Amino acid sequence: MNGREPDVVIAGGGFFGCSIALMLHRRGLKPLVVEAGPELLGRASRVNQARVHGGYHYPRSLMTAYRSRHNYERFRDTYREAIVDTFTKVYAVGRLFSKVSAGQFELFMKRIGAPLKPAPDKIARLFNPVLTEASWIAEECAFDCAILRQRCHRDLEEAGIPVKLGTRVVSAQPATDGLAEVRLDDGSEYRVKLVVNATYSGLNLLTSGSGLPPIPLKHELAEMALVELPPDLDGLSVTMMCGPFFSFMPYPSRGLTTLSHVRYTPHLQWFEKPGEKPIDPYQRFEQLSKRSHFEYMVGDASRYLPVLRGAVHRDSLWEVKTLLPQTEVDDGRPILFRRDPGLPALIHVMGGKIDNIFDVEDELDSVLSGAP
Amino acid sequence: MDPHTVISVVAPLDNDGAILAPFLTDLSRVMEGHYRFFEIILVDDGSSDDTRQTAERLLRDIPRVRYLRLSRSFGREVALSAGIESAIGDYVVTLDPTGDPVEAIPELVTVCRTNGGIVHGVALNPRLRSGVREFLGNLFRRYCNRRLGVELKRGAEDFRAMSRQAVNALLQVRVQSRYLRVLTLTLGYHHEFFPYRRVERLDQPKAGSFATETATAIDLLAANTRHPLRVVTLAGLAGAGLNLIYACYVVGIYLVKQNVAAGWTTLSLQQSGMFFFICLILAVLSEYVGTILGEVRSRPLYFIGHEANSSVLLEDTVQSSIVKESKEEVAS
Repeated sequence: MNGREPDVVIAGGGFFGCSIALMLHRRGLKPLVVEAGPELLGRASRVNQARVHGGYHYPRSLMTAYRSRHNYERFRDTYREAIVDTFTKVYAVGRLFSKVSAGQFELFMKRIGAPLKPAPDKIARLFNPVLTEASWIAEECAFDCAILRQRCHRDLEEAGIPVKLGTRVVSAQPATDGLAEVRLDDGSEYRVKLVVNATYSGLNLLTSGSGLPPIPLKHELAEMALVELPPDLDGLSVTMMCGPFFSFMPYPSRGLTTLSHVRYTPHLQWFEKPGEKPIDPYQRFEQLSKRSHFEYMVGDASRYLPVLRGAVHRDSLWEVKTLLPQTEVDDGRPILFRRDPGLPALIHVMGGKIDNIFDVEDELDSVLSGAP
Repeated sequence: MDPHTVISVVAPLDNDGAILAPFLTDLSRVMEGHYRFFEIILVDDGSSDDTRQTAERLLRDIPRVRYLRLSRSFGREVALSAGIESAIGDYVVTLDPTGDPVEAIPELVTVCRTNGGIVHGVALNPRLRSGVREFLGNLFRRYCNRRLGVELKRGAEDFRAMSRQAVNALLQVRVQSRYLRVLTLTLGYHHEFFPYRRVERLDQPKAGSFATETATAIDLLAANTRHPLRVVTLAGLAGAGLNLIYACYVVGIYLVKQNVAAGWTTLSLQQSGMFFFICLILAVLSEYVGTILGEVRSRPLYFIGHEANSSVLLEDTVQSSIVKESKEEVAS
């Protein structure tokens, strides 16, 4: 531990946990990253889709769309080496059941400054015109999570930030002088200024371990099918908005493509609410049976894009996807940044989208400056 | 209030230069007081007074206002549509700047947030018209409630709040006759009514002339229901039946009577009766043909002549995607 006791413990070594550790280090603190898994960026950061959001995804939540657009360029520049942009990104709007019309989508993207060009004939022809209202070429990229993980490792190492793998933060308790007493499952204990709970699905493991009321969360068992695309779709990524919705996107670290579908990617959902007995979402995840919905996904998606029928299923990525219950309606993916009312030194951070990480900096600053 | 909700307020302007400054100041103050993110969209329906100059002067001081000027006067409903189309809010409020109270907006939006869909303001003190017009108006609303299957309420005008989903549905309806009062009710989304009191900003409240209101009523019916046409069909059938009976009668007389006198009176009466029906049929048919013609032309609903924005727009105020709370319950 470089002979220095940490003054911040970060629970969760995902992309958010690592980035927050670096941000705090730059502000003169000595963070310790504690990750329960065997490696950094091993869960949601690895398994959730490798999309860097350009804002196009959220025509029903202006905030998320606008912030995604704003942060898109910055993320792309900061993590240049992990960015993959050698594909053509197509967005389309469905004619039936869509919650957004082609005109509204265009207007919305213009307002947030996200470029859209009408898709050229050879791409537009791929879509079934009865079901598709319009298609465009958008500007969006993917990231390679393996490279992103190396980058996080290197940054943490250069900053001299210690990392404990295979270890879990069990509890945080109030201590004197506004400090918090943190206990890890390897038996070590630290008195720290701040505890950052960046464990995504596992947020409430720490609240319940500390005897604090849980944060309302919605969990989904999510499946991303990993497929090989038919040759006609080489170098393409397509997202169909918004209602009947599917998307396929390169997944660089496996050399395959992820296919997701709004109806079939979530297999089941459960909620964590105050007053209910907490369930370990990871344990629950392990126990759930995982039978792929690939056939349903490709069946529905190829109605819109007939050539997709030729996609071959290679594997599936499974993960617990965690959402804020209030975002059900507008599809928004804001970042939850919440000081625990029972223990102000404990901050819960749950990122809806990897690329919005920069928004956390201001919040950290206001915490460090002692603002309420 | 969820800090991440954007509220758009759409106000159509029709020679409202005189009230624009106090209206916009009040509206902006109310919105600032209640919301982190909002935009005000002024749609100038080709005003010929100083509306444009006043608006552009106000844009320099009042933030988050967009001013759209249509290339000519397209009518209030089209102006509202243009504003709604360009609104980006998660909730869109429309109102009449001459009388709808800006103070009631937060409550209206809260009702809309709770249940989604569309909330229609119903004025408890609607603009008064002469006795005959009130009577005709009541008859008209009763007819609409029966035949259109929508509940047109006295006092329900342009004051309403719509969820983004309802707005998107509305924008997909591209018919040229856009009576939002009816269109919004026929979308099928959850709707409810919100009582409020009009606060007139003008000494002499504007009210449409009898002629324009009658034209509106006819347009509205022709675009939304086939019922009048069905009545004409029935009248036509009845007229045809009468003609047939009359023909039989004539033949009978011809066979029974020895010398038939020239029945000039009967003949004239019968002819004028039939021509009455034919004219009526033609009148209603022409209404429908007109409606069909309007739809077939499918010209753009409106043209924007000019656009101007406040120096501070929404985008500059959106600093972060952070929320501070996770909430259990969600409005649907």
